Amino acid sequence: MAGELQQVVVFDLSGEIYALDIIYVNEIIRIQPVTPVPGAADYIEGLINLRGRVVPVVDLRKRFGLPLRAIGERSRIIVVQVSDDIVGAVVDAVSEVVNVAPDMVEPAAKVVSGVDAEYIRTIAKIEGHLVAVLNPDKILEYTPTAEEEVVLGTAE
Amino acid sequence: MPMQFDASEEDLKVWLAEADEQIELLQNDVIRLEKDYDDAQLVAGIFRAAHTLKGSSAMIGHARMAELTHAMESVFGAVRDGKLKPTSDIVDVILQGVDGLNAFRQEVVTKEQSDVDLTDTVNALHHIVEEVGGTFARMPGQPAPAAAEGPAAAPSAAPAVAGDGGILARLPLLDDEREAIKATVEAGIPVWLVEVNFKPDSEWLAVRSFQVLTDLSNIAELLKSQPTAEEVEAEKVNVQLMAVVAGSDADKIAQTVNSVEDVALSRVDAYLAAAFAQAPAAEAAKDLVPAASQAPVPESPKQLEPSATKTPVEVAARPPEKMAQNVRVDVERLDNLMNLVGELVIDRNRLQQIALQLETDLGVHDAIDALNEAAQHVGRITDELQEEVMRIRMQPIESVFNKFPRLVRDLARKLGKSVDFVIEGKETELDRSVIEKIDDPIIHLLRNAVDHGLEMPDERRAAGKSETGLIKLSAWHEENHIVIAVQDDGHGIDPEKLKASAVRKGIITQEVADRMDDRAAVELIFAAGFSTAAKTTDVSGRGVGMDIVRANIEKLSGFVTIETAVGRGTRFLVKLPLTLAIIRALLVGLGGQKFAIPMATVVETLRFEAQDVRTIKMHEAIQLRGRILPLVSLRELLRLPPLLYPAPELLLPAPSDHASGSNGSNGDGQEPEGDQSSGMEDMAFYLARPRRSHKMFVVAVRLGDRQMGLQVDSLIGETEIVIKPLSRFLGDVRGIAGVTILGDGQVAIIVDIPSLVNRVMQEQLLA
Repeated sequence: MAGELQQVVVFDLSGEIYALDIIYVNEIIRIQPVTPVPGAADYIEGLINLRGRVVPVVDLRKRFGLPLRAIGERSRIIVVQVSDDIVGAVVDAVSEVVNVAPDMVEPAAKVVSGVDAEYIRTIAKIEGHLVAVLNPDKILEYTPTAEEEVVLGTAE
Repeated sequence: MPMQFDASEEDLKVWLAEADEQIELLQNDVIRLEKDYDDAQLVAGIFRAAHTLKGSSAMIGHARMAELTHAMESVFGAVRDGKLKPTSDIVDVILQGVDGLNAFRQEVVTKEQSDVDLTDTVNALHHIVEEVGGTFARMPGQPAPAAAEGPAAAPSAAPAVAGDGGILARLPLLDDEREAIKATVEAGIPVWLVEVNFKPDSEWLAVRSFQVLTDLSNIAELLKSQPTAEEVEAEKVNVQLMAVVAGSDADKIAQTVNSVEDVALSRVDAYLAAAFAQAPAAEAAKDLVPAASQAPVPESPKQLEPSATKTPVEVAARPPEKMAQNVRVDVERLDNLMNLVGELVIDRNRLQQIALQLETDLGVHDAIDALNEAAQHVGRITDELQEEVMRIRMQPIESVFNKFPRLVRDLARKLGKSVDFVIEGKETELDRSVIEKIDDPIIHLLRNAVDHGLEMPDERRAAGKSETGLIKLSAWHEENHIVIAVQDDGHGIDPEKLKASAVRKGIITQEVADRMDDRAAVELIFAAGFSTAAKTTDVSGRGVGMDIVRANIEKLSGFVTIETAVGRGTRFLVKLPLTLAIIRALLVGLGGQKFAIPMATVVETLRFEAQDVRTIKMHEAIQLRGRILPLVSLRELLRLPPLLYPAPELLLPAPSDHASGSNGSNGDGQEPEGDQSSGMEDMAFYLARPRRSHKMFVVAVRLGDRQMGLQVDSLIGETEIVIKPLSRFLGDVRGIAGVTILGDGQVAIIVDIPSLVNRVMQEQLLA
């Protein structure tokens, strides 16, 4: 990471600014109808048909425990891919793609905003603001919490 | 420790493919040695496999593997020659060797030396052979034997026919070579001209050539070869190999050469003084036709069996073998092909739907007719393509079944039981997707049969049975399904004992047990946390119960039933669909969402009036042709809230708060942006208009040998669907067998009815 110019997609989640390295972003699509999955974790919105591939859509705001906003005109689904796994992430708005110079990036450990620290890979300084660059592995990771276990029916 | 092999990556791949074949053969056939050691063909096959492995492992420089296979080969040789009777103990040692081969094979994959040490096994194998007075064939590099077999077999025999491409014509000798041969012949040692033609499609000529040369120098003295050993090392090889050797006899040489893989035809001529005399320069000149094209390919190898005089000997290497027109295809490619066909099936459905829609909307029109026609044609072709691809993917179940004799044997020996294991119907074909997944359930059922099903020999004797128990594994087709049966002639399952045990373990109450009939009692074996053995052995009591077996089988859209008779035995029947990739499914609606139910579980669809529903013992049921069909709502099974249903337009703005109760005309009321207060929860579900419909729709489903009625909101129809796995990301969601894309592009959930219902039933049992 260090030493290379990084391109990130900057987006809005419940009024906070986050970013994601563009190499993990396949595409950004408009909100579309999803098929809910009964019994899945609550942050799973459901499934969409992305040109013949069934892709789960996650609500990052629910996953991060952020306040929810209604889906609006500017809401988008960012399609994230890590190796073979593809997941769509609902965000409130996608603002821009920016280049981040290596000296503008710091490890996440120091500053942590509302989001659980493990979801954040680095903190980048973009146009004077500190922006959390998310860790795509973490977003794509399936980690049942005790609560989810109940939802999934495994803790009965 | 990293290992290096004398072969390129590509060659190693070929090597692995072949090694797998040989190891598999050993695995499958070695245990048959105990009983069928006098089956010459079996023993020859085993010997040849070990021999081939020896050569190829030496070729890539896997010394330990070569040493092991060499030792194994010697044992097989002794068996073949009738010197050695393979007892169970000996077979045990050989099986250790087979396990070792697997470990060594793995080393070739990982390029890491494992800590597997087979010195003891190799020594034990050596010992076995020495016991019966056998000697080892020398490994390559060991001193050649005194090759004097006596001149008896040689020069008097029929001469090589001149002009038919006598071997010497194509293997010109240098003067000093001729001198050396002359000297050898004069010393009374027979000299042989050997010509070997490999199959033109042999993927690894260098290895084969190496094997032939190595083998020849094991039994005779190699005077000259073309290509030379050095050329073989450098992989400068041809489909034809020629050699001049001294010693041994024609039969033995032919046999040795023919035991090498991929040898299509070989020929052994005596080197005659006469031929030697007329140094065949002229002949060589007129015989410059490329050797390979000239090599006779036998139509019927029988005619080429050694003649009475045995010289020259021309033998087809293998029993009748038609030139197979086979292509090896990477399994992954086949899977891709299947996926593509799957996509095509979806699009075919979609096309047909669009055409239908157009017709409904626009009425009759030429263009629509044309579209319809095209859609139908695409449909037909897709069907055929699908069928063809499915056929390609079909494999005999043999590849799975072949693992089991070893398993049953080892298990029986460990438990001190005597078992006669019979396999039937291993040629039954089914799709790869199923084959890959049926191992575990069958292994478990077999373990169960050996461990819990069969009695100890003394118990059997006391019960008036033969001491050797019978376990039969069979497979056959039944309509669109394959049935796999695991049967034992053991003590059967005693329902009373099972009930008592279930009560003791708190799986059911005494009261429930008293009401339970025998059939239901036997089914208790599938209850979670149940094990019938008084003590758990390390064999089947490893925490995996029959409940998991059932769950796994049901995950494959199959089901398992039991037939048992106390004192006579038990039979488990597993019924599975032939393929898992594309299945027929019934689409049902719950609210705005469509769900797919695999047709394998569907018996029929029914329409009832609400007043037909009775309540029996607190459960709803309907009467169907004199039977009681218990009812359960699919909504409840999926834990969807009653009366609430998820909107298909989940992510679209929902009606604002005030609308959720009263303004429920439908859910599409678009709300302008800016209403930031309404949470996602409200958007996910909204109140449906309470529907006082008197009609209700029921899908009768099959669960094991019972039926149950699933209440759904609507019945949509039957269709073919392509099963896609649920994303890993969602975790293991219970009750969902996968997802699919429907003709209209919507994603639909495929429900796993058995697992849903089992959960409910278990909860009811506990209640």
